[in-house]
Amino acid sequence: MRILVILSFLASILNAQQFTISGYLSSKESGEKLIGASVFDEQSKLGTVSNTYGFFSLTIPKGRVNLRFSYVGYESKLFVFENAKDTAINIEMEEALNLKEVEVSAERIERIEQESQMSIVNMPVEQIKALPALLGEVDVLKAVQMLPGVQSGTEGGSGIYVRGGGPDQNLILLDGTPVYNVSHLFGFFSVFNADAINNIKLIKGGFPARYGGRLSSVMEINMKEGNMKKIRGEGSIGAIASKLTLEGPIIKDKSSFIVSARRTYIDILAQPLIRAASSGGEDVSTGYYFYDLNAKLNYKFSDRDRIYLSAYMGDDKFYYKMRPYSYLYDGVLYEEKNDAHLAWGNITSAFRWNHQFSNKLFSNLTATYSHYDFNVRNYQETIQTSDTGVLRNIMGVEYLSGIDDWAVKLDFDYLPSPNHYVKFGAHYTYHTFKPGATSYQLEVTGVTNIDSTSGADNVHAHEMALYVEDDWKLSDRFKANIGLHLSGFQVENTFYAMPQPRISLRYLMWGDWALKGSYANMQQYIHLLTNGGVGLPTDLWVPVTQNIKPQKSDQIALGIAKTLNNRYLFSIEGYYKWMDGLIEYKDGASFLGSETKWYDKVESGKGTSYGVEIFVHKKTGRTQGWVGYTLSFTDRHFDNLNFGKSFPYKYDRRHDLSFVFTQKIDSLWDFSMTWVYGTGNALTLPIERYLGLPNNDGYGYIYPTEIEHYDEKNSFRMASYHRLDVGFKNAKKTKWGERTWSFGVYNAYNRQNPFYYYFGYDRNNNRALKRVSLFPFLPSVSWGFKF
Amino acid sequence: MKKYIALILSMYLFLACEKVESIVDFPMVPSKLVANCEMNEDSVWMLQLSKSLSVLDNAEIKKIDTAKVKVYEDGQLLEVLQSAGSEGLYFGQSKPKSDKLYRISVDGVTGFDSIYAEGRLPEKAYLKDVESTVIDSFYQTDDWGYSYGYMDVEFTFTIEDNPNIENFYGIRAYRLDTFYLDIDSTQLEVYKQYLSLEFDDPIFEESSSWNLLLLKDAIFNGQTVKVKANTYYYDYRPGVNIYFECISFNEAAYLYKVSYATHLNVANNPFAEPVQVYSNFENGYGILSGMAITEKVMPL
Repeated sequence: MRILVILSFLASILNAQQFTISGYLSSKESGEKLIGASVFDEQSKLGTVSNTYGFFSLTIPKGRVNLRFSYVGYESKLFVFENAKDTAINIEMEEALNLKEVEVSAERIERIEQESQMSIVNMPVEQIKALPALLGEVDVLKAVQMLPGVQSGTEGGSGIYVRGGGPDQNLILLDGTPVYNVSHLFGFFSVFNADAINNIKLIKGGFPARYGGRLSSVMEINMKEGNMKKIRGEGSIGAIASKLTLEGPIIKDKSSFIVSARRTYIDILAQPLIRAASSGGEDVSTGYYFYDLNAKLNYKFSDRDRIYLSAYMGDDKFYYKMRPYSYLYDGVLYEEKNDAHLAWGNITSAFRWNHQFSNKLFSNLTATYSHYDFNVRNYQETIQTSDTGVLRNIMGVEYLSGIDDWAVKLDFDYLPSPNHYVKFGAHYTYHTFKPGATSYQLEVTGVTNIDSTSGADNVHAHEMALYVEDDWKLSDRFKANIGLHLSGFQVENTFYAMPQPRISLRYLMWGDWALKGSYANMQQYIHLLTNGGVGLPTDLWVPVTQNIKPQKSDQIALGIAKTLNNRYLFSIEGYYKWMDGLIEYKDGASFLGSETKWYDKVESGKGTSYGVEIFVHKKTGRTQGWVGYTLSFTDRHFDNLNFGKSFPYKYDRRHDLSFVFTQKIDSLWDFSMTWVYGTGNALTLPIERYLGLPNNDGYGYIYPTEIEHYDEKNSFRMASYHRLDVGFKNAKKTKWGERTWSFGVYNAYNRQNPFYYYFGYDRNNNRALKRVSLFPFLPSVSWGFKF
Repeated sequence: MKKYIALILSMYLFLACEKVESIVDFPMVPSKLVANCEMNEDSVWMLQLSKSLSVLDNAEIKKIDTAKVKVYEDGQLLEVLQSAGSEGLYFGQSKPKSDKLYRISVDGVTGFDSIYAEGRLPEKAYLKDVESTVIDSFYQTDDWGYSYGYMDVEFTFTIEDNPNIENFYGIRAYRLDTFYLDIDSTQLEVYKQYLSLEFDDPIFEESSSWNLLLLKDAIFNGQTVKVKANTYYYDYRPGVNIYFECISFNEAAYLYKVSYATHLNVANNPFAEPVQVYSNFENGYGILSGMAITEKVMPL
């Protein structure tokens, strides 16, 4: 640490005629830190942006400065002063409420051409919350799915597939903690409650060196910190769920909290109907619910030190419970109990300590815990009491899988001069994989007593990484982000290590059109065994082994970008990605129904993905939204699948188009609309049937055999997917705050989008391929409040 | 007011849970010829010919008995197989030999492209040190005069494998039993009752199909393989012979058997990946497979 301080000191000597202005940027209304806000000196034309904790540092020459602070949705601030010494300055910015289109220049426009990096999208949470939503439940991941280069899975699902990658190749970080399963209700909703979220950033390529461990994307989701000024509340009551968020100061301007909770109540509403429908006297309780809870505390010791403690907890549960009941039969009293459930959930928590060593050196120490588990249980018990004694029969089966991570990260931001923004650090994670164990309990009084567990044992692994990167301004036109990520993974007696170079370049051409290019090498040491695209909680996280190698990718991208007319962020990018070490289930393998170890059920192979993405994004003004288009080609090649021939990836989607539009009509009404179109997913279906070799059944009978012939893997295309959603919001100030009525229509023109296909029979008893669609025209209404 | 809220809520839940099904246009692909022929040096040529149907077609699959089925040996026409009636079966006079390349072509069926496949017989497996041990057995006759029982047997054997080529094997065991053709019949028919088998060491296990254990040579070259056989039968009688077979397959036969067994296992499992069954007839479907059986009789 001492070395860093000395380095910082030496740098300041070398820049003797320069002084550093540093500090924090936050919202005046809530005290919430502003991430990625721009700090720009109009005199020297030098600038920087605030980091994840709102910290900025800008070293500029001695003399007069015109320092402008700006951030999307906030009124910009200009400070004019003489730069004659190092200055610490904390800026509170005011929200730009009800800005008219012509006044938009007062807001800060994110200038895409200024960034050295490409393939990054920052999504304002308020923009996401303005969109129409399935059953009125705003979903962060569903909004992300509408970005170019990101594909959704099946109808309604919140899984994301980025540039031909699988769902396991996305590093989704909630306050720096990885979240392993982001699905509620089989993926129809994600685990992220938009009310508790401050900021979302998605990176699809050109990954900075500070990120590692996944091939296809990084999604950073930062929770709100809690209002430092006053107690605020926000909530809503919808058709399937309600939520409530409370935030406020513990000690004004020093410490704050936020707590946000959400729960569905389908089970509660349906309970009377279920009871009425159950017959035979059993008292049956069955249903489904999910809930999630976000909480965060922070405490500011000084301008140099601040700590955060954040946590997330969420569960999904399908349950069936028959309350104990008894009956008398033939002189024997029978008492019966039955309990079954399918449940999964995440717990994440993070402790962070921000420390500012100097006005040029900022550090963040993070300790995190992430837990995901899935279990299915069925338990039946019968007790027979008679004159001869008591006989107890128990039969229980439980399947468990999951993953636990303990991690510590130390990250530094070092800003020696306006031309360099250096980040470096070290990460360590201790993984415990629980890749599927089945326990059986069988007990019959006096006869049998079995209590055993089978399946794979827990596997412990150590993952570590070192990184350094520099966002380097080589000239006014040429900027580069160059870095190296060095990672290692120790599992059992095997150690994998890999240096992963990363580079992003930007050259400002004529008319401030930015030409951008990037190369990123990524390595991933964990795999997700997945059976289908329905966001099943049965998906299994497993580590690399001696035989199952890490996943690797090399991605290159080239594109142009410019902020048009001071309003529209425009970009076109082409990319090509090579992937190796991908795993898929062997033909016929399944997660259940076998005692085979997971690594004997998989095949390793390769994949490629390439395409072009066009994106126009407007984040400010009364009219906001985006248009995104992706043309892409994705395939897989496994020596032992599809008889060694390449086949399209399940989510190979030739065309993907999204149109997102929000309009502030007046002070009361907002209108929003989204339309999405995507080529149908690839699917493997039989096309013919024929006779195979006759079979002997083992008892002397010879049977003709009939085979269903599947053509090439994933050779059938589902129907294309398209959907229009429309929403209106009416917000009105009241004595106590604000109330909002939200009206929405999901699938406004009632398109029957495919969810899955199967072979059945038509009315004339002819065999037919049937398509099942889930969500028809679906209106929703919810009532929200803020105080 | 409560009534209206309940009504709206019920309608809403009803709408939300609706599952809409619709019929999808699915291409009806033209039928193709399907030929299946298992080469075995102990049997004369036999091929079954039929045609494929669209997966949507409810009709029964039809056999074809009007085709010209030719067998070529090392490029020379060996013989033309003769149709034996409506079951689509074609027979020859000769038997396939090892070390020869065979090609079967089927043509002359109106409306269908001709199809063909090539293959060789595999080398016979050389078995040594085949031993059997009865681990446990039980036998008794009940009051009604029916005898029943069970027997656990363990087989050990060594396959002397040719290390220069990839070999594929199937292991099975059976006993001979008898049954009456019909209820009024007094004549007993003899049939092979195959025993259920499992490998003692799971590393050998590749797949199994109809009491046939399948394995490749890559993992056991020259090793001794142990197989456990367990069987339970009502009319078990001590002192019967068990016939132990090691079948050497050519690659096509092995791929077919493994893929077919998996195809069958997952037929109704929505969580499992679908399985293509291996086929080696060009322009059509079916399998030209080859096998050579080595059998040992084990008196127990």
